[in-house]
Amino acid sequence: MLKKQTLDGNVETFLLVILNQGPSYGYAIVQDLNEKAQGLLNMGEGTVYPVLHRMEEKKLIASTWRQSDSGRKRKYYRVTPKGRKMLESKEQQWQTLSKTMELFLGPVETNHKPQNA
Amino acid sequence: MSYVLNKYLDRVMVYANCKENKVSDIRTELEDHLHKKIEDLQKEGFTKEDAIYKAIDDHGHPRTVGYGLRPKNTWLDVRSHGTARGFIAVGPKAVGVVAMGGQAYGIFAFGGFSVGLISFGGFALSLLFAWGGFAATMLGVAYGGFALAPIAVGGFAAGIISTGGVAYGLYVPGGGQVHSLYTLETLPSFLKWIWSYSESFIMDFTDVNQYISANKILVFVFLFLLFPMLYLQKKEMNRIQKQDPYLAE
Repeated sequence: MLKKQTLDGNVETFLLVILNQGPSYGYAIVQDLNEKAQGLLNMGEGTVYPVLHRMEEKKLIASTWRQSDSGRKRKYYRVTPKGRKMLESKEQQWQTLSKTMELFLGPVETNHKPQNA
Repeated sequence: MSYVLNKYLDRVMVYANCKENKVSDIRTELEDHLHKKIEDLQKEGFTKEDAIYKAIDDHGHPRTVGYGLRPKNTWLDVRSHGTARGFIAVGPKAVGVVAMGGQAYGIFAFGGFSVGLISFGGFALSLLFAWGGFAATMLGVAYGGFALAPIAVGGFAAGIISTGGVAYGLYVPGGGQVHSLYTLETLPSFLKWIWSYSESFIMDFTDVNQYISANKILVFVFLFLLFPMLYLQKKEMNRIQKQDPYLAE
């Protein structure tokens, strides 16, 4: 499980990645987030909303209200040009960081095998 | 809507303490999330009641969600739990320009454990001025039961210039049990300079002098700020209690 501090700084990037695939709403975003994270993230579903609202204040994402199939009002978020720019910058930073870390720590293991197997 | 769900959202909104024009939007958004989750859980085979409780459980503690939704960088942040952050911050932990709490970090910090430029409290650490049971200062003056500073005044005082019940220092102008390296006549010039500036602080503490000193002003500022901050804390608890007595317990 990731440490909370490590997570806090990156949730915005995760959300930008998800929203870059197309407009989405809170519940669906959380589902996508959990699916992509494969159980590595441990955060309450409700804690995504403060991050979304903060990102909206920073104008990284924008929102519109629409009617859902069930008739309820639903808030849809989409990435703004500023958000897309930030995502590109994060991707570049990650490329550089991951290459550097690989040089020192070796490639990332995708499957954890028991040591004495 | 279910009573439990409604109560949960009420509690989130109590902690969020948003402006009225935002309350409705936030509540509608969270409500939609929870309803959609409940529908999905029911499709998975949960009973409606179990689905409601699981949806709430997965959503997070109302305090965590609510505090997360609070506006950031406000002038005033008063919290009953967790860390308050604002220009003026009041809470169990407080971080702000003026901070008050069990742990307080700020320019002016008041609290059981306070760290700041000017700190008051049981355990006060500061850059310029500390006043408390244990007071330590890096550059300025510390007043307290146990004082450590370039200029230290207290029951037990240790510093370059110190005075108190038991005082250790390069120069100790007075006190009960004194351990001084220099006398006034033999003071090196840099200590004479410090002494000339610190004399009023020390004289004031030992109650020899009666004019207004920086110490008196700072203690007055502390008391002047303490009461409004205690009032704000009480007001926040009353607000929570009024909206949901369970949360104030």
